[in-house]
Amino acid sequence: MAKTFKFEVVTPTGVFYQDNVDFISFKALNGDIGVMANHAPMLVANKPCTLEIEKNKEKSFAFISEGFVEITPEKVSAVVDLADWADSIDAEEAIKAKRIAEEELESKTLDASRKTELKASIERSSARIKTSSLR
Amino acid sequence: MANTREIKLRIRGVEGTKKITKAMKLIAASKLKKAREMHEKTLPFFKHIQEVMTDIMQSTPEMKLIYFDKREKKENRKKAYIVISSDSGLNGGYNTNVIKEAEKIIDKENSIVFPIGNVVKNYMLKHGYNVITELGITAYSVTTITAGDIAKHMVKLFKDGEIDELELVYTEMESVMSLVPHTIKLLPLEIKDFKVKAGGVTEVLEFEPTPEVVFERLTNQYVKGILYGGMVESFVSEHFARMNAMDSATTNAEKVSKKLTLDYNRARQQAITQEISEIIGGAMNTN
Repeated sequence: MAKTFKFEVVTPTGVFYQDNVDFISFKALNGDIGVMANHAPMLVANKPCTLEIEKNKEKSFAFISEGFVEITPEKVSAVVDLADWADSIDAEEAIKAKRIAEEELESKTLDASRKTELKASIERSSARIKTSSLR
Repeated sequence: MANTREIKLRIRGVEGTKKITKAMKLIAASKLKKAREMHEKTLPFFKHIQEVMTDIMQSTPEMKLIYFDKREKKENRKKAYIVISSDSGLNGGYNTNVIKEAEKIIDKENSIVFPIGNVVKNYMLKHGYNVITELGITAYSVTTITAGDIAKHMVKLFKDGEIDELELVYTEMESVMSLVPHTIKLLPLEIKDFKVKAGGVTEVLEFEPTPEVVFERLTNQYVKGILYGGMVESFVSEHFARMNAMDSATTNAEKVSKKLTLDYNRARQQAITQEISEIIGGAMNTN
């Protein structure tokens, strides 16, 4: 049996997930990162993305928003603003939100900060949509 | 008789007010409970962030971070204040106390005020402070999301050099008897707030992509955490103050109503007595 490690997802609304798992993966700013037991200590800023959790050969998927993942020898914790299981995501809502943000981005002359805001929003919605298709 | 009718009307009015104040008290109590529960849920998240920031400083002490820069030599330093009040009145001295505290510390010339809640916003606008209302946050939107938006905005202003210091004025419920306005510093960060152990590096940590990017994120979250704590504390204080104010209003209404009932009965009895004596007087005359 593969070695497991402690993994938790902490959000402002409470501890979202906490268990011993075999493997997790998520998106960092420069590409995907997968973590197994005995990973080197690391602190990673993550993008809004799909979080994959593997436990006893069963995979589960969740959406996580921007935040960071701390990897220590004792445990791995993802500290993010929002987390949602794939099957509880409202895909239609996400598609709608993405479309509205895209329209605003194209149609008007916007200042830079609003633009980055909209881009971040589109990125979040895309990650949500992708996650919800994995249920 | 007009007198009894007048008293009756007043009794009805007072009873109506009593019902309202009683309801407001109950509402305040339930909101208070909810806000507390919400706050407790968020604690592990922010505790975690503080721990991680301490870890970073422990493992990379040589990192020079702009968020610790006090900029003491800079001329025309700009201070910013976030002041939290409520949106409406009827909560005893809650708003007055916050505003008094804010007036004491804010220097009108070189500061900007970011008000949360309508009462403080209107007051500051009226009294010639540099108020920035673009955040448009009301006291009723106490969520980690609004706190996050404000924090992000502030950290950016600080990074761009538009503000050099940021303080938060809020009310803390120290005990059941005392609500005390407090001021705390949000930016720049103070090294002493993080329990960095002497002796330096404990373990080597890798950062992805860079320590600076990770630390900036953490700073956002950290400021958000303190800000949210202050917002919740203020929210709890506000509703506690309202609960107390409404409680004494209810008691007073009861007192007034009792006295009026007494007056009413007296007037009624007097009217009856008078009527009887009139009848008797009339009957005696006809005989």
